[in-house]
Amino acid sequence: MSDLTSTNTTLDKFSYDNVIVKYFAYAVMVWGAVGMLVGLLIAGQIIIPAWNLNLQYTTFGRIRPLHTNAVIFAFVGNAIFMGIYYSLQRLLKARMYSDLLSKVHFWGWQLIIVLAAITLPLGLTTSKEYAELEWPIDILIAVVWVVFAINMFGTIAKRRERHMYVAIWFYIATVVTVAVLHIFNSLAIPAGLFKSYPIYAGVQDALVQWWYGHNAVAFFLTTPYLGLMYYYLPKAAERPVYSYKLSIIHFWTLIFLYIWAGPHHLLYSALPDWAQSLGTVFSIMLIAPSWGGMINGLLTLRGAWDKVRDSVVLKFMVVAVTAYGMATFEGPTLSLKNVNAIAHFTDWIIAHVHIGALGWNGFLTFGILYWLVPRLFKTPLFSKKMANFHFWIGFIGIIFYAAPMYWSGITQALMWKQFTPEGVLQYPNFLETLLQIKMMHMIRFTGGLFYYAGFIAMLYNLVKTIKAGSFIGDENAEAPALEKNVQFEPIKGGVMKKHRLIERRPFQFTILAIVVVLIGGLIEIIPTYLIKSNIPTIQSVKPYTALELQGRDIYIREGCVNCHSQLVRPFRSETERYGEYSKAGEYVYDHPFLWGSKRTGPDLLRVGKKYPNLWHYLHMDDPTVVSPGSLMPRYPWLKEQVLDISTTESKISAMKTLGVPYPEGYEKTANGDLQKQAEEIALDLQKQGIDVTSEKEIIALIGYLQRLGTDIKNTTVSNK
Amino acid sequence: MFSKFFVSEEWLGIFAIATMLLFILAFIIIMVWVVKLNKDQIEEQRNLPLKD
Repeated sequence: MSDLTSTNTTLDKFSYDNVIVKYFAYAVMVWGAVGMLVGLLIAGQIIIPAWNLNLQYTTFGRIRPLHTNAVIFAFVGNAIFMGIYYSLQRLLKARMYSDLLSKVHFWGWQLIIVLAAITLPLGLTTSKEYAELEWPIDILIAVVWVVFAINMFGTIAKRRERHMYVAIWFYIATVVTVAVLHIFNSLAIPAGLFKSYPIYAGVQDALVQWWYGHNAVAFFLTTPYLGLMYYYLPKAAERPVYSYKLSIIHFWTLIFLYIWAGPHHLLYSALPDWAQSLGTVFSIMLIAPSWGGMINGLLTLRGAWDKVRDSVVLKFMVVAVTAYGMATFEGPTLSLKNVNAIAHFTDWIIAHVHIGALGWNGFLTFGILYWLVPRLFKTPLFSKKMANFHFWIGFIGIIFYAAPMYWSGITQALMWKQFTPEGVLQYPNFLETLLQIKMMHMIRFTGGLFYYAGFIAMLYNLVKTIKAGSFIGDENAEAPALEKNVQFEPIKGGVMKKHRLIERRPFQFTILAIVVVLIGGLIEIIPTYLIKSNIPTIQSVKPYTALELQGRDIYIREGCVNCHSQLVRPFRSETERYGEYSKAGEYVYDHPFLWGSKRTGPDLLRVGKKYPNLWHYLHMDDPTVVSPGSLMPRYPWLKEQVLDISTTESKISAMKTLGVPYPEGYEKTANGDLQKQAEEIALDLQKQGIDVTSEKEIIALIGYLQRLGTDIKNTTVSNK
Repeated sequence: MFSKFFVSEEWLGIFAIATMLLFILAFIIIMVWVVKLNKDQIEEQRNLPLKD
């Protein structure tokens, strides 16, 4: 029984905009092919570094972010928009608010992707994971996102369906939270058109970055996809979601809890212990709403499991939801400190994220595409058999990808931590631990190849379907107009009135969602800023010299952080291998922090003065010369390219603006210091027979590497 | 007024407890809200994707 006291009998005739859905569907197919191909290329480069073709633009450190950005923001991003533009119109019984805004959104987003594809191989990067794009592109992202938000909220405002279905709640949470995350994590001081430094440093930068990074997973890869699940799974199964009440609990608890969990990426780091513990507690609590969503998805198929046998769409969706359940159980497990001590920095994390990316995001996207494209083009799928092939080869691909990565991750952790009975590291040479897992990396590559083969089969299948069909851009529809000032019958002491305050009021709903989302982030970040004892001062820690700063920017440009951490955790196995564990005060001038999240190579925090300049020169030119069997790529261009010192002044000025205590007027004289230090290094190399001059980039990089971790010697830690 | 909360680590213990209480409170409110929801209306909303 409805609580409406009157009903509207007049039918509005209108049409749905299918053109924008088609555009985004095409973009999913194109960028999916590109992003996954780059993934295969970098997976190959870990086995055979020469697959970079000896080009700086195709080397692992530069194109690994291209892979992650392409898959997350191009493939998944376009899939989100495709799914939302189709479902939002139908759930609200309204055409999108503005066709023009839809087009601006589409072409703006594609422009961002193209700019990313150009700038990342050029080494124009902030180095912050999943937020690598430089400040002009960041501004463009914000503008395009606002266009999307206006279009979405405009559509909600002119809707003909009074209720906002739960899928739309997830869309709203996505739109507002991604905006907040992107803006706060991207705050930076430009030091040129393609260079900026984040306003945060060291520990604070790490906290903000992983607050963003974790919630990029939460609110870009999860909440919008949950919204899509709540719409497309019932459509494909032809039955309503199992429990709408459970979906409400799922939504509110998920968005409340997710935002707190970021610090679980920084366990055993220099981040204050209380923040780490808070991240762990909320990560564990996340299992409940996550599994609530998974159970709700799977139980939607109750009594209809026979359909899964025949429907390839449902096959993809069932595996996707199951992968979501696996990943959201594994994530909290990894946030336990004892598990994290083993898994962090290893391939285990790569396996974990790919269960989510290949299983949850990939398979749900494929399921939606197989459901959507035949409907958009009014024709049956070209080949059901080929779609089934895609399902099975993709499924096997995930297994072949994840299993060796779990094996590899545990192998790495065990070897890194293994001591002999005499009490020394059993595998002191890091390379030994990497070569041990080479076979696992090969199997992973095969898994990726299988998955990609399935994707190509889907492309062929969908293109043939599209060619056989006829597309109708404006799909006619009709629905009763939404009555304004409708009277509601009071139900059960006003409970329904409270319900309406949220569920039918987009503005109030959005404000409440923002408040819920912000609580966690603020409680974690504000104390870290305001409590001085969080980051004790270390008197001997000084700002980088001009040469070291330039060298650091080369380190960032080449994406060294993608393979090397700069964070020694307080474990005996790490202090024995690398040296003194990391202190928060060591990073106070690190804009950005470069802790990394993966050790394909060893940690570099204490590498300063560990080897002579000559070792670094030879190592960068050809790692196998000083480290036989090394899987690190060559960087020969560093000894050829001349360091651009015209940027020094703007870089020092930007650092001073951020509070780095360089002397007054230093930006004007910095290049003098730079050249002096560079000549000392060059002279040292020349004495040992190396034909190199002081203006080459390699000299700056050596200057930076030789500085790393050396400030901590003869330290005085003070809270004042 | 609130600045005193942020001057030392001693106050940090409050955050963990306050956070937990905040979540429990929010969770109880949501549960009560959901339990009291009208069944017919829930059924109507549940079926929305199938009506387009």
